Amino acid sequence: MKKILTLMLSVVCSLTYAQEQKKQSSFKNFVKEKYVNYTDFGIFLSKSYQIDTYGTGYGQTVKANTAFTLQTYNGFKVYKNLVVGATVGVDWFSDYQVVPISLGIRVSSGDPKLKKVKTFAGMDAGYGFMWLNDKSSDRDVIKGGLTLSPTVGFLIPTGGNANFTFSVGYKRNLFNITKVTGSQEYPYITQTDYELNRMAVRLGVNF
Amino acid sequence: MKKFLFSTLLMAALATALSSCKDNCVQTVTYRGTESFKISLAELRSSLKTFPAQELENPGKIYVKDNYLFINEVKKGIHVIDNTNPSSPKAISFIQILGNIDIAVKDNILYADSYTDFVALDISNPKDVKEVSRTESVFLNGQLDGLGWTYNAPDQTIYDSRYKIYITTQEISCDPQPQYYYGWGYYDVASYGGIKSGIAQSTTGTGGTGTGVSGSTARFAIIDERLYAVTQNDMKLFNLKNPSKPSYDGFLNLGFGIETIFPYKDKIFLGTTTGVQIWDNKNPQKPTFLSRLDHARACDPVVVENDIAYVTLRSMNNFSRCGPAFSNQLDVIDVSNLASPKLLKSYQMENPYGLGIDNSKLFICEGTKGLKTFDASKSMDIKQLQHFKDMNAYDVIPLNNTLMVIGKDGLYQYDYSNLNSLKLLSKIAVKAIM
Repeated sequence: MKKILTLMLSVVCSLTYAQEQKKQSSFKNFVKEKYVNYTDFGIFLSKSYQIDTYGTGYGQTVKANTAFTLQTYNGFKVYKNLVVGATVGVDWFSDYQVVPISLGIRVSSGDPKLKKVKTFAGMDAGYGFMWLNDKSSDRDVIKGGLTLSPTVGFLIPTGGNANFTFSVGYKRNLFNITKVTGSQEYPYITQTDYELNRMAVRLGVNF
Repeated sequence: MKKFLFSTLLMAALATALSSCKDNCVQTVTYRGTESFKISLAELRSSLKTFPAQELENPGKIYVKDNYLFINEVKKGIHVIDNTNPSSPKAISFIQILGNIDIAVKDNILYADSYTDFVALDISNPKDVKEVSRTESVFLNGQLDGLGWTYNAPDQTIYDSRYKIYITTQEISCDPQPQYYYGWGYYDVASYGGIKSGIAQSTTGTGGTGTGVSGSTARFAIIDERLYAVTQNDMKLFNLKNPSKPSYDGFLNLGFGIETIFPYKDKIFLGTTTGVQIWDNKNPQKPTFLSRLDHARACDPVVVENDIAYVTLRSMNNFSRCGPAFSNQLDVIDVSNLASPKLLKSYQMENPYGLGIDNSKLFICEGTKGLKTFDASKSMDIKQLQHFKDMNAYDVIPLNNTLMVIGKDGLYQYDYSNLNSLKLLSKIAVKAIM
């Protein structure tokens, strides 16, 4: 993951550096022409379902759960309406907070210059970091994991150069928590594999 | 039209996505729980057998007699080791004695507890041990490692339990509810008296010439013609006038939380969870209470040399029988005036279990933290010399410059003639777990 991040950063830096060789105005032009940002916030909705934890036939209802999400996508147009970039965000689940850092693409329909409602689609894939979570003891292990976020939505022109965005998508977060209690010699180990599959509804801006 | 079609497709895709958005969380819990089992008296009494040497699995106390080393296999029996050459000890045989925890040897007779019974075995041929006497139903219950057993007279059955590692995997709610704990995964082995042990040196006057050496936290002690066996709350007296036919002479009530017995001169030191008790044993028929020194509740083996008693206190970060003491320490107590023992100094320790002393050479087992050696020639200034970290030690016997250390990973023997630099002579490892 780190390697990918480093690579990504170096690409961005070298692009920037290359631009600085030219005239200031052409750099500005490049940003104006190629730079794309999507910043949005939204909610993750989960479905209620039944589990039979103890295998006794007496099920337990897992309640539907809503979580909050915030993310920003920064990228550059590489071909027509295809944008390549990276997403950083925070997903506030009730017990754990995930910081997903992903690589992603955005594709929008129609001519960007036309002031009318357009559609867009995006796909992010990356790693969810667990930096925001405390450990209850040094023996605990908190491991992040894959995050995946395909989305589709509308771009609604604001009047200026920006768009409001409304999108619906899917978000998958994986992480693993190991809690250790008990004595040193006889630990009580509770290891939980989280697989959170949520429907995401987001509002935001794009420019 | 195109747009409409696109929107419809979009909605359909969203509906699919929505219906599949279900969390999935799987929890795997690993803990040590208990599993109960029972043994009938008939089964217990017919189980005593000698087998060829076996590997150590869950070693308990150790006991030395002449060239023999006896290692208790907790509640299973006794490993007999020929230790003539400590550099290469040879396992000779395994005596199966169900429910065995403590051992004491006088001449050719080995005394052992076997749940309810007190048995005497003729070990003149360790490969073919013979039961010579059995005092039935003297012990009615017992506790080791936090596991208690009880004898139920009406159905002639002993109810006991053992530890077992449980692994459960289950689907749980991803938004977890309060945790449920199924077992008691909190036990700290050896924190329950019993297993850990220090030494009772022959130089301190333990018994006659024909007696072996046990740990300071042993519950059996032989003094002359008498064997003292302490249980949780009393002391059973056995008369060994006829060594192969010990007779039960009744018991003395001691209070509660009795852990260890250590004979010193004509006194008996009892390590309890609340302090040290000193009993006068001038009349072996009827030891009398002399004094006690209290401390916070903790597990505490005691050894005595030259009127100085060394007691280790170990704190537990969980609830246990020994109680919630907050310090891990070595207490040095002046017992020259036995009627009023005085605490001289406390030294900080990490996780002390058994201890042993020989000519001011002090050895302290620190459980998972290893073994430490000290120069205890000055009580007020005990100096740490060496620390062996890569071992698990809870029981130690220093005898004639050979230090025997037992831990969960096996038996180590060191040459301690040079206290500044112990030399490893041999190791008998426990059986590898598959």
